[in-house]
Amino acid sequence: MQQVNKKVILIGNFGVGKTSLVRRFVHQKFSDEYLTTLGVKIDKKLVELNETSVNMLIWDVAGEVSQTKVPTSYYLGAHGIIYVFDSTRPSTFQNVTDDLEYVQKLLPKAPVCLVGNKKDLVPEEDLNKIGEQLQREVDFFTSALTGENVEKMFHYIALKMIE
Amino acid sequence: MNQEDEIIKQLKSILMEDELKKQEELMRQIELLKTQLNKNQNELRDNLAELTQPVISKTVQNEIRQSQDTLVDALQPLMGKMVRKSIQDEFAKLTERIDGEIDKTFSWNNIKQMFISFWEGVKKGDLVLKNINQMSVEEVYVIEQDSGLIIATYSKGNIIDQDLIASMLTAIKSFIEDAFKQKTGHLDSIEYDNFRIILQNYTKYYVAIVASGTVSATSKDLIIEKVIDFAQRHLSQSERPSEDRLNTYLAKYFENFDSNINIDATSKQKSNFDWKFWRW
Ligand SMILES: Nc1nc2c(ncn2[C@@H]2O[C@H](COP(=O)(O)OP(=O)(O)O)[C@@H](O)[C@H]2O)c(=O)[nH]1
Ligand SMILES: [Mg+2]
Repeated sequence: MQQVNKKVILIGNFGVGKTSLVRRFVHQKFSDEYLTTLGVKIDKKLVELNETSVNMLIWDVAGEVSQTKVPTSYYLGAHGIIYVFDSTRPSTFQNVTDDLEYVQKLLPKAPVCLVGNKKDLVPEEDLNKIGEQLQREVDFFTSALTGENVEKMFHYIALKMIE
Repeated sequence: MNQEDEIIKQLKSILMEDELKKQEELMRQIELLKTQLNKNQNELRDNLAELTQPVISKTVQNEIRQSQDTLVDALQPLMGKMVRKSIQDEFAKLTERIDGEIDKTFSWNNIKQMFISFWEGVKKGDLVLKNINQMSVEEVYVIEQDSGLIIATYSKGNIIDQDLIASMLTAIKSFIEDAFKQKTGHLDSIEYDNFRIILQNYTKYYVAIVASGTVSATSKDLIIEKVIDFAQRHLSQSERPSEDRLNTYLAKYFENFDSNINIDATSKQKSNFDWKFWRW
């Protein structure tokens, strides 16, 4: 089987569950200490697709996207973008369009996966409403708590990146 | 040269009294800062640099830059290029010295702290850092600049998570280079405990060499020479060789490197000494 290395950035407002999602997906756990200084936490996970195994280096970038205090260079060279919002907090998906525009300008070729997290806290019909509200289709509603759709979501971005 | 110095001095005192005062004041402040930094270094070790570095660096550098232009511009019509050059040199030296002071404090705390957590989080205990003075190249990574992904590696210790180390190293590098945005420079080495990571930058990728033991300036030069040679030979073609091929090449370059370099370094030092001896 062929193996490829890919860098994925995980972005979105504070508290939406980015770190929790990675923790769900990547079972090994590293010290979070350096995160505060560096503003990024990096984990990796090998995703096996049909003929390719995708070695994903996931950069969990702290801070808001457009007014970020972390170096822009953290985004550079990424092959995939996962934008996470908190389905219970509209303030976290208000800026989806602008934020994604900003990041996609830096990474015009990278596929995007839009994720509404904390699915477990929101009734199904409300989730549909969020989908209608946004100008862009939500690719997955996930729960880092129950694990629902987490694996699926990461497989999806892995697949998109090798297409 | 002496005459030139004298001329500059006189011109300065005649024409540039204000600037001189400014400069003296600046120097005084720097001295003050230096003593303060040194005095408080121990207790403030954890956060001093982080808090003060950006402010100090900016203020000091701006002020120097500003007075540099004023001074040079005022003098140039009178004295021409030679003076301009020598004044610029002086300022460059001064700036360098200040940078040195600031960098020392900055890197000392932050990098070390970052490193301890990242290294301890990542390493699987396989990397044996030798507690001897002999320099040894433990790991070599060729890493893509932006993505932080590995292009090729050579490893003595079979570190399991080379990918992760390469990514973290890239993040640390970005972070530090970003913190010194005004400068065009690159981070060129990180020290931690008994090892040192030497970074050699190219446009699309950089090479990180993890060396343990005492890395003298001479050995560092030899390592860099080797890396440059490797890069020219194997990385500069339009079509990059496969990762496997590159790994093989890297191994060829660095497998027997330690014994050679340790001998080389001693003989180089010796020849330096001889040269001086004869000259005197
Ligand atoms: N109920 C619920 N809580 C979650 C979920 N994901 C994250 N959280 C909680 O939300 C808080 C913020 O999560 P964190 O992963 O630190 O967010 P980050 O700032 O985006 O990295 C934490 O208290 C998590 O336990 C989820 O899917 N469901
Ligand atoms: Mg987080």
